[in-house]
Amino acid sequence: MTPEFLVRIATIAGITFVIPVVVALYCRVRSAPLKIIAAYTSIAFAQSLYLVWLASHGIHNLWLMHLFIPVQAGMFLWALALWQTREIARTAVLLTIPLYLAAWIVLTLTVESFSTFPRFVKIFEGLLVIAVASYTLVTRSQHISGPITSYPWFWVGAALVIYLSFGAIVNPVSSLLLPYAPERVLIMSGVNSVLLMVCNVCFARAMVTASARLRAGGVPAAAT
Amino acid sequence: MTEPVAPVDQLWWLFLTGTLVALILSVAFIASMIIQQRRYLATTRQFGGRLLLAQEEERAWVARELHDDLIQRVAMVGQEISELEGTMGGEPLRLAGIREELHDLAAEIRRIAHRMHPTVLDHLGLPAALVQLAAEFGAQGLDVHVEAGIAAEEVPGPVATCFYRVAQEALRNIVRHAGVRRASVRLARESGGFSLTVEDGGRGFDPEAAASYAGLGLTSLRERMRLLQGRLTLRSFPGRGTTLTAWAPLEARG
Repeated sequence: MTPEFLVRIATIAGITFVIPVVVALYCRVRSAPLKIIAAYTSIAFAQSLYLVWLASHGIHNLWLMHLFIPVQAGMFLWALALWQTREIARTAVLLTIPLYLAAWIVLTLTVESFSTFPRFVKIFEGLLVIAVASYTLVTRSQHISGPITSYPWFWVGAALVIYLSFGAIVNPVSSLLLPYAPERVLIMSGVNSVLLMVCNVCFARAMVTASARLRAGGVPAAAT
Repeated sequence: MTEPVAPVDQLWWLFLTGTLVALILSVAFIASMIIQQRRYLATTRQFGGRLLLAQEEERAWVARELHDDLIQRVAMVGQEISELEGTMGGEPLRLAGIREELHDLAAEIRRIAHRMHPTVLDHLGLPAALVQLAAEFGAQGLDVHVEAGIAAEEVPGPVATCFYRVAQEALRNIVRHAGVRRASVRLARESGGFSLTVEDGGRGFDPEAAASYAGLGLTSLRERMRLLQGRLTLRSFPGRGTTLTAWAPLEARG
């Protein structure tokens, strides 16, 4: 795999952020959690464009990755909170957002460095979102009457679990490998890009599923 | 002598192994979830199907008992009262009142028996049952236009029962909520199956907003359709009426 090929994959992965947004607009998604996911992919798309622009002009862009992490974590947790079946779980997940932001500030000011990839904040984000997404999948799957794949929260939850199981450690390891083996960092970035594409396709599928459920007779807004 | 592995290589292999394990675990978690939920769903559906079937059979049995036994006995008592009226001299007015009461009771029992299980469905088939249903709702002030594009014998029994219940529930909802005096019921062959569409031009509603307080009726109908490998589609917009479509495949046998 040549570096050019891997960069191309990363570019394509960045472009796939558009798919969920387009599908959400086309399907006129009305569910609040999916609107948050659509908003997230829009912001992520803008961020990836800016990352590419900065890189192509030879400007350091790792600071943007650092700043994007709390936005990403906050939006994922917010969407997942709205999918909780119990009020106490919803409140608990919503509370993790300011707690994570506080942890991000502390870690960024103390152990993180803008001159390399985000490490601890990324691992923390990954573990937190994976835990909440898994909890959402398990609790919601106990109260359904149709195939699990016909529910949007399944696609979003599954996408987050799969993507972040790799994504949570790719940045910290990249930061360690970057000075010694940059070609391996590129390979990891390539794999991460493929998983990102899968994640975005799953988000788009969630939008389609929500729209199909609504057409089939509807379900409560929070359930979609 | 083997050369010692460099720390970078060690980190690389550690990373590869770790991510592979994490990926496999997460994919396995999702896959096991799908498999487990499918099994659970299959069991629930099987149970639900049996329950609905048992309920239909029970209703049919009660309806038959009411119609064939109870109504006949009430009629016989009425007949005896008529005979008594002729032989007894006193209180003919009171006897006439009792006879009238029995007549009303028989009509009520017949109505209940019909609601539990319309015998016309078994004897004349779905199109005739729909026409009769339309007449019943006509008495409540709803003018129902029935259009049946298929013959009675084409529709399998379970589909006929299911479609009848869909039409019954939909028309009941129109009377309750739509605020109109006209509705239409269309039975046809469509997209490799049978379809029943109940439409009104009433006040309509927002399906997404209404779904949170949807009654048991629609949920039960959706489950019935699912058991036939069919589907139930509801389209409605505030001020633009409601269309409920039930579709079942040709091979549906319940």
